[in-house]
Order: sequence, then C-alpha cells, then structure tokens
Amino acid sequence: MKLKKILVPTTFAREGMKVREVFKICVEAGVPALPYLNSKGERRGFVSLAGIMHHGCLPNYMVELAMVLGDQLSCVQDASTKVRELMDHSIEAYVDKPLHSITSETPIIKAMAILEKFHSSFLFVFDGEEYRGVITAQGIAQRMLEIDAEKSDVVSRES
Amino acid sequence: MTEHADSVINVIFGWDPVWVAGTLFVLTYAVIMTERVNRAIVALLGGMLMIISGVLNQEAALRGEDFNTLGLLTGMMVIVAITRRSGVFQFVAIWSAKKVGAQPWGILLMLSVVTALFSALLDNVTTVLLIVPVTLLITQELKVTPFPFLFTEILSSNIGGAATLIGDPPNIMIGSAVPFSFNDFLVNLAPIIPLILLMTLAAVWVIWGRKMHASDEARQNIMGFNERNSITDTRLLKQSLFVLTAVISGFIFAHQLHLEPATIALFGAALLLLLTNIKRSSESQAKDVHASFAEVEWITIFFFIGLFILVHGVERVGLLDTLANAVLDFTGGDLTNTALMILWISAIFSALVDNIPFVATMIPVIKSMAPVFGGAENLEPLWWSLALGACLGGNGSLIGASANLIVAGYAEQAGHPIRFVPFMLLAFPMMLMSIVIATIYIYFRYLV
Repeated sequence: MKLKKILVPTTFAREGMKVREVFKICVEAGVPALPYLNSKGERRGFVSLAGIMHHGCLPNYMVELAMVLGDQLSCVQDASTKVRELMDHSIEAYVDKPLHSITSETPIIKAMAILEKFHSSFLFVFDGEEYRGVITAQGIAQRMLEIDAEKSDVVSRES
Repeated sequence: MTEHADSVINVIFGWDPVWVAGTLFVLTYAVIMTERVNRAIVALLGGMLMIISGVLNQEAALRGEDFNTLGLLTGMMVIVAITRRSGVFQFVAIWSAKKVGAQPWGILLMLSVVTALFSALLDNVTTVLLIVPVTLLITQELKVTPFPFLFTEILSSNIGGAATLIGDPPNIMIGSAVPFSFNDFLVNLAPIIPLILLMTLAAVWVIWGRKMHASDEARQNIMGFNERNSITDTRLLKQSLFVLTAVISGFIFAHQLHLEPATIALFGAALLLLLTNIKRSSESQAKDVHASFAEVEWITIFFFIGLFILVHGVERVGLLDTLANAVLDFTGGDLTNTALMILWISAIFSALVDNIPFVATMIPVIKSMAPVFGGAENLEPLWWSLALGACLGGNGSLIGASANLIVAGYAEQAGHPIRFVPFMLLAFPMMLMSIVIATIYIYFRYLV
C-alpha cells in the first residue's frame, strides 16, 4: 500500500501570506497544514491550522484552565473583531520547525509509524526537492475503508 | 598536604589544597552567577573536579552529601507532582477568587494569601506555576493589568516559603544541617511571616490596590467559572490529600516518631505512588511512575549534589574556618552584630544571586562559630537570621529566586513581560522593609 493514492496535492504557504489565505487553502484542500517557504523559496518549516489557532487565539493559561472556564468570557464578547485581527496577521509568527517528511514511495505503514512517533496527524511528501502534497490520518483511514470495501465486493461476487 | 580525620588530602601535582579548593570554589560560583551555563552542570563539574584534583576522594565527597536535603526535596517533589494532577490547587485558587465576589483587590489579596500558604507547604516554583495561570485568566477577564497581581504573588511566595522547613530550599538545608525540626521552624519563623505579608500587602494597596476596579459584567465572567470542574480525578484527590496530610503530620510529630524529614517525605512519595498504581497493569504502572519521577526538578537535585561536594571540599581544607574567623573579627565576636550582619548580608546577596550556594557555604561557616559563642545551642539567632535573610532576600530582584524567574517567563509568554528594573525599583524597597521587620523580630526575640 503506497502513499500516492492518498496524497493531497497543495501549494506552499509563502512568506508574507496572511492567515486568511492559509486557512482558505487548507480548508479547500482538506488538509491541516502547509509547508512554508521563505522569500528565497527555501523550505523553513510549516504552518498548521492547529498551531495558528493555539498561538493566535489561545494563551497557555486558557488551555491549562480549560475545564473551569465559564460560558461567558471577555474574548467571546468581541470574538468577531479578534477573528478579523487574526485573519490579517502575517503567517511568519506561526511557522513551526520543519517536520520529518517522507517520499511518495514510502509504504503507508511507515508513514503511520512516523505520524505516531511525532504525535502528528499529517506528513509532507517530498521527492527530493519536489513537493508532492500532504498525507493525513483521515486520508489513511479513507484508503483503509476503500480496501475494506474492495475486499467486501470480492467476497460478495464469489458468493 | 593537609591531614584530616578520615584520609589524607593528596592533590594532583602536589599543589596546595587550599589554593586548589579555593580556586575551584570561586570559579564555580562565578560561573553559576553568570547564568550562562545551567547551574546543575556547573555545580556537578565543580564537584567532580574537587574529586579529580584530589581535594576529596569519592568516599569523602559522599560524606559531604546531605541525604536529608536531597531526600526531602525529591520526596516532596513527587508528592506535589502527583497531587497537582488532581486539580486541587486550581480549585482553591478559583474558589478563593469567587469568595470575594471577584473584586480585583479582594482577588489580589486572596491569591497572595493562597500563594503564601501553598509556598509554605510546597516548593515556591510549583506554587507559582499553579497560581500564575489562574491569575492571568482572571485579570484577562477583569480587563485589569496582571502586573500588580503577579508582583504580589512573587513576594508572597518567597515570604510564605520562609515560614516552614519545607517552604524553601535554604530552610531545608538549614533544618537538615543543624538539625531543626518542622516545628522549630513553625515556632521560630512562622510567627513573623503574617506581619511581613501584611505590611507587604499594605504597600501594594497604597501603590495599586486603591485604584483597582472592574466592571460588573467582567466580574460576572469570573463568577461563572466552575472550579469544581478542575477536580478531574476525585479518587486521586482523596489519595493525595490523605498522603499530604499524613506527611505534614509526620513532620510535626517527627521528633516523637524518631524520623528524619527525608524519610517521611520519601515514604509519603512511595505510599502515594503505591496508592495511585495499585490494581494497574505493570505497563501502566511503569508509565505512571516514570511520569511522576520525570516531574522531579532534577536540575535542582543535581545542583545540590555538586554543591555539597564543592562546599565539603573547601570546608575540609579549612577555608570556611578562615571565612568564619574573618566574619567574627569584623563583628568583634558579638552575637548581636554577627546575627544582624548575617541577616542583612544574606538578604542583599540573595536578592542578587542564587541563595542556595550562599546558604550552602554559610552553614559550615556558622557551625564553626560555635566555640566562640559558647556552644552550638547558642547559634540559634544566627540560623534564623540566615533563613530569614536568604528567603526574604529573594524578593529583592527578578533574579533573586527561581520562582520570580518562572513568573516572569510565564507572563512574558502570555504577552505581559515583567522588566528587571521596574520590578526591582518596587521590590527591593519592599524586601528591605521585610528585613527591617525581621531585624526587629530577631533582636527582640533572641538577642535582648
């Protein structure tokens, strides 16, 4: 089982982009993150939806005290202003360190092992310097469902 | 070569042991003060070089280690690491904020008192790590600046820590070396702590408290917090509180039980680990025990290990006797002068650099003064002066204590940086005020 079938091709996040643009690309492609290129076109890490939300909206103390928060919070009262502010931020502040990448020939089981090792839900696929796309846990699950469906079809045809 | 009771000092290349030990000691302390290299690395290197250079052999170095300090610190760290998972400390902090109707000054007061109380029973770093997130959340909701709150919590943490044997590492070291019991600290230091805290809070009220205000809507947000939800595991809460109470009771009755604090703390840690792991699979036990041990501040523990060897090295070559004689020459061998000098010097020193190496050095220095003052039993004012000076002195600057730096780091991450100079301009005079109170207390209680 190879990765090619579950790869989601995307573009890069580039220096100077706004959070709004990254969110749009990720939501349209259904991926949680994009690799990040600086102004010289060098790969310098990645930006993820979770990372932007955590650093842009959630201070650590809110995460720590998540269980005790009430339903009325000051940040909820002016949420739309804060969202618009966040969308206008440049993505540079949210770039995370480069993640381990894999090639399109990598077996899915190895990709799953790497996902597990880095507690990640996605991996970027590069063949040399060429970017192929993102694989996600959902993509792997979908491929497993397809394999299961193919097997069921074979069994029902035989019977 | 210098003769010693247990073995002969045989320094490499036949160098003078006093010079070798003295140079190693001064160099190590100097590098620790620069804070360029982690203090545990520096202290361990210094300690090991004391052995490699031949000032101490391994056996002698081991005799320098204070198991009581190391065991008490480690045991309490494990107990607190497990207990904090239950969410009880956050529960108390939020409950206390709601008890005062979410009024900003009331919250500042309550969180400061809670910080001081927690600091008396837990280590200061753990205490501020528990209180600061609650403070930042509350001040965010109240739309007030968090600085006065964080500032007062730093001060309260060091003041509260001075009250008990287990509140602050200098007290643990002094308690172990003399030895003083948990009750000795309660009887001798705890009585003055409420007054120092009260005076500090009065100063904070004059500076900020009078002008603090929050809207009704903002206060309603705080009242909407559900502190009960912070208790994530009721069984763990019961087990932790049972062991914590048993350990504190053990400290109080240590004399009658013929037990040292380290034994009580380590037994408590082992008992809590047993209670929380019983009926679990061996794999799950290994994971939990590993996680609990991982939360021990090994940097502090290894810092102590290196430091004890280092201090034992200079003690063994007679350098600390020389230092003690110099202090006595300066004070004319007068107990009052010596006690007050120790109080003030340790306060000023602790405000500017780490108080642990200072206290580690001063302990053998004070011990060696016993003959001058007619025996070890007459040194009590000096010990309490050292404890109060070292603990309260930590309030003098942002680098005066580990807890101060932890608060500053957390606040900076949350977008509320605490700057060195503005902090010191307010904190140093307040620290001096606390030392003036301590001076009056020491003088009238022990020296008149």
